[in-house]
Amino acid sequence: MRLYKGFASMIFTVILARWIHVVCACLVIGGVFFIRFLVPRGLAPVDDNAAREILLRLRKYFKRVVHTSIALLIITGIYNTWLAWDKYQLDRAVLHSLWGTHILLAALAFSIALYVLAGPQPPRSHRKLMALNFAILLLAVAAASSLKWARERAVSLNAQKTALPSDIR
Amino acid sequence: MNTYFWHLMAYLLARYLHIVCSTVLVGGTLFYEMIVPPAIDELKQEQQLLIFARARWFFKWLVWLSAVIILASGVVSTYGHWDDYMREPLSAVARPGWWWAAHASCGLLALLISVSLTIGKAPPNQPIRWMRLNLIILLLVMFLASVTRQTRLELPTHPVPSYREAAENPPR
Repeated sequence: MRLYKGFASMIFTVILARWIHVVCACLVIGGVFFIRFLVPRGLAPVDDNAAREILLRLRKYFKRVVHTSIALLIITGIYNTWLAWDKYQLDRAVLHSLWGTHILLAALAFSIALYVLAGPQPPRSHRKLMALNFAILLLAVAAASSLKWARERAVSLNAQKTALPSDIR
Repeated sequence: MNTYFWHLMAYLLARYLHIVCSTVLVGGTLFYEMIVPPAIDELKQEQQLLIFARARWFFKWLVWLSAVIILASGVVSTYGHWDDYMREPLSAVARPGWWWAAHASCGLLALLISVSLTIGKAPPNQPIRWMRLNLIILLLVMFLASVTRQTRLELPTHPVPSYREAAENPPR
């Protein structure tokens, strides 16, 4: 019974970590898309000074969301990697390259986001950098999707190789 | 290029589009509902309404496009995992098919609310409250998706055909 409870709590933690990771990714990607592509169109009828003022206020609120999300993404990402690390040894060539790509792209996206949102005023090239960041984030999602598929496939193939008679039944 | 390759590409693409559209929908809803209102609260009422109306117009196309892609990619992913959803696990709570049904029905409800909020020239009464409710439902939908995945992975054996096996016996 104690073993079952421990297993259930472990499963719940796995689900919770994954859920937080996905929700934070949603907030960052959706927010970047909104602030880069929808906000400028929404502010078109407002005069330039007022539009800039609103953009700065939006940036201030968005900064809080991004900083919190990045912290949670890193924590849950480390936890998820720790859980799945044994599986990553099953097909090193594919899984490590996909995992590495995902981490590199995420680190690049975090760096750009932190740079663009640092300080009271955005840098000159903030529009280009935000658009670039959106593209990098989409690539990071693509790497994560492929990694998940490749990991499940590696686990399945390994299970088929080492299947016990009871499993086959 | 054999059939399995295209099946695999369709599955990966569907999964990717499902996640990307969800991120845009959830992140956009949060931004529209929680970040925009405090940022424009110092403007005059007319200007606030104008900004909301223009943002809503652009957000409308995004919501509709996302809803269509999420439904289509969800059908493809469901087709890919259907055998797992129908399998009997060790306990009833761990049955992925039930969690999938909860995810699909709550997701459909969230999409209906999103689309209904953007239909027509004027937003419905209390749009922010509706968006807040929808955001909670969307977060629940994502939680149910995580549980569905985990219960699917926890099944006693999780057979996926290898590329070579499937290439030798391509799906008909």
